[in-house]
Amino acid sequence: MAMTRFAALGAACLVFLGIGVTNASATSAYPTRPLDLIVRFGTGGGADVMAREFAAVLHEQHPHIVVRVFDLPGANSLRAVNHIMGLPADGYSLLEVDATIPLLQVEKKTSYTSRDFDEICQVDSDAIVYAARPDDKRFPNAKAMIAYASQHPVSIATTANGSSAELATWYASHLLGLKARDIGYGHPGERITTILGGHVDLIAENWGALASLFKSGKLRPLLVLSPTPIGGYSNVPISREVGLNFTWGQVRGFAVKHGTPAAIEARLRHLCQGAADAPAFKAFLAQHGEGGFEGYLDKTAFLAVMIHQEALFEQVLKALAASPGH
Amino acid sequence: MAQLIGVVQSLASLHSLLMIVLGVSMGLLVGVLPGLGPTPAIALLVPLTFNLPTDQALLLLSALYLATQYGGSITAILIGIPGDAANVATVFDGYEFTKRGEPGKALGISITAATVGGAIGIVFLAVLAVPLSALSLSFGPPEFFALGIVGLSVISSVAGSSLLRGFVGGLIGLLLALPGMDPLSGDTRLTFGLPLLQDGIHLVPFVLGFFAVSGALDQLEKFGRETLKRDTVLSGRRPTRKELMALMPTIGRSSVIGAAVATVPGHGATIVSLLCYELERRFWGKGRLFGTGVPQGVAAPEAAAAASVGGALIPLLTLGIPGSASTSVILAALTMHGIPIGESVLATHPRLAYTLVLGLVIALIVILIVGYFGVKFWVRVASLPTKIVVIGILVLSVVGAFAVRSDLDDVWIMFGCGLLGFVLRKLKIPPAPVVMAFILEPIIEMAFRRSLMISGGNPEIFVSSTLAIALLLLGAVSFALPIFFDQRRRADSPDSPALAPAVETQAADR
Repeated sequence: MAMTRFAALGAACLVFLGIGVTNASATSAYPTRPLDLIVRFGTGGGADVMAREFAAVLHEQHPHIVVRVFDLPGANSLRAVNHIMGLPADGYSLLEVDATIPLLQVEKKTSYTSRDFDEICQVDSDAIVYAARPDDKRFPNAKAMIAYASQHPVSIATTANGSSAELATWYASHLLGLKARDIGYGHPGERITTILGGHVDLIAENWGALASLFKSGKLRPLLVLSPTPIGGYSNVPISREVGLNFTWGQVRGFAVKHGTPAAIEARLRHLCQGAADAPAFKAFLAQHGEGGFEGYLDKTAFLAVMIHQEALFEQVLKALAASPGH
Repeated sequence: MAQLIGVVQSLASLHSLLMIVLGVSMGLLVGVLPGLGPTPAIALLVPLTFNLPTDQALLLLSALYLATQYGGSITAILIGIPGDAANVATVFDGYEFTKRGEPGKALGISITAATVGGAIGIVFLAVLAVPLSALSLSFGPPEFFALGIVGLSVISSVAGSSLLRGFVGGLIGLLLALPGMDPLSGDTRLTFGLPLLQDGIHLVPFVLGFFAVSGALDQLEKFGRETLKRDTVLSGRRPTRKELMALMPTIGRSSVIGAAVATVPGHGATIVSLLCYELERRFWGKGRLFGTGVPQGVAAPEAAAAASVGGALIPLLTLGIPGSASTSVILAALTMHGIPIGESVLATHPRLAYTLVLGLVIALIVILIVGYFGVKFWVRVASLPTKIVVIGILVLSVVGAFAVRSDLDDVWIMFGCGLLGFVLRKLKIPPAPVVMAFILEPIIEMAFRRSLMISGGNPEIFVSSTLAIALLLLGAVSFALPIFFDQRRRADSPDSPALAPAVETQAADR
């Protein structure tokens, strides 16, 4: 009996040892198959382009690592979220995340919470900017824009109504006292066309999407919702310079399903940092003119950003509920 | 001069020519597969272009874009299933040619129209890019709404012999486009609690179901009732030069309109092909004969779809803004090569822009050669036993529906639409109004709601510009005319055999 008990205990120890060795070797060899970056938006959009650039840089740094980008748009990001939640937490599927995830949680459109994800890193953050056509004499600068729009209704081309960026824009306009009507468009191309054609008064967009238009003089930046000025545009006011205690960076990063082995998560963070630090990736971001916020953030800082945005959305949705006619 | 030399040098390299040939080959293959349109095909190729020089990447993707527009017409003509939504209008008359044993004629008309249309689109791109980009900016929500009304007004003329059935079809199409996510608020509507309707009904599964699956169900029903045998020998004979020359006015008109309208973002090949089919039918053709297999019914939409490629590239090259879903993906590739959104390629990289223009010309020549000599091959494929063709159609349709969003729900939706299409066939409700209304509903709804949001609810915005007023008037006339003429036409029997034309008769009438 004692021998049988010892034999069983020994066998159990061997089994656990085997599992441990297997896991250790799997972890140390990670990744042994392609990594999948799951993007919540359609092909050709900003998130997709960023993910593809990131994948290309990562592969260039580590030629044995294959990175595949899958676009799973739909259902306001829920399709991609549900998809990754159905996969094993093995570190081979990363979800591209931004402020939409905390928004979904606050709006209770998903049963998943922030505890179901482990942030890996933030790779990109882009401030929202209000802009106008240069020939529009009503808006020569931010002060004039605020003065005019506080008295007269103005239409602002924004991201799709109900999206995280549109809600942030609405909140900023609300705090500034603007009589703003947000006109939502799903694609930056549509937003840019509508402002250039004079069909709306203003546009509120990620700086990166408008940078080349600012450079060519087709649009005039008026106000940036960032804590620091954008490089080369120190004359464009930032939030605090107009008395606005609100900034917004459209963040992009990656997360994995909670429960992914710690060693694999650590390896992913190391890979992520390496790719984010690569000159090619920095040049890509610089070319798109992003600024005002830190691009790369490690897991702790990124998690803090997401938690902050979740709290912010609670505030925004309360203000929205109290505001008629949105 | 230095620029021109640089462009020629760029194109004269073996690698550049290889990219063009590769793009055309893949484009034709993708175009032929139902449901796999240019957008997913370009998206698949984008990662492969990372290590290519920018000009070669652009040549590869643009050649593929151009070739898929033609490739989709092959299945539209031979088996009555559009290869892409842009080929829907081609089915109406193209498939009739096959039914009476003349698919070679329709394929020949299609390749000719596509080549000439593509060439005119390229001329627009090369010569009129800057003024047309200003036109594209002049379209705001009220103008889009008015354009959508013009498009919707065609339902009264494609309704066939019964206006009432046509309107019912249009209503069904409008209703089918409503379920899913509200485009402006993001809330779900009319899903009846079904998760598979949460994202609405996508265009590709709808078209595949409506045409492919319903057609297959129709064939299967016949299997049950009779031994199906092919009693029509399919001829690979191409149209004569005289027949093609008689179609040049149609091709010219449709190409010009197609290229011009396609510069307006959001109005790609699908909208322009339907629009040009209708305009040709309404104003320049023998309207009653459209849908029975007339050459103009194939030439007009194919020329328009091919010309729309050049048109859609105009906002991309002049404003750095995509004009269609396909050019959106091409822009993504350009972004990866260091050209960001909003940057005018024509202004900052003129050599690249003109390399693209000349490269498309070469791609057109390749398409013409392959298309012309491929007619007999495709006719042979279509001559396979019906059972094999039906099974093949179903398999390819499932693949095409799944490939849209890698979502099995789209396959179920396709079968659902197929069942609906089958029932509508039995009720003699024509497919054209259903499809047109389905395609136009999102455009009209978004434009209408955005217009009222901009104006704060004031409806005067819809008549605030000359362009919008002109388009609304055109829509009203376009809607009323067929109803007026239908009253007069009721004196003739609409089912008279005299309405079934021979192709030679059509050519002779011109």
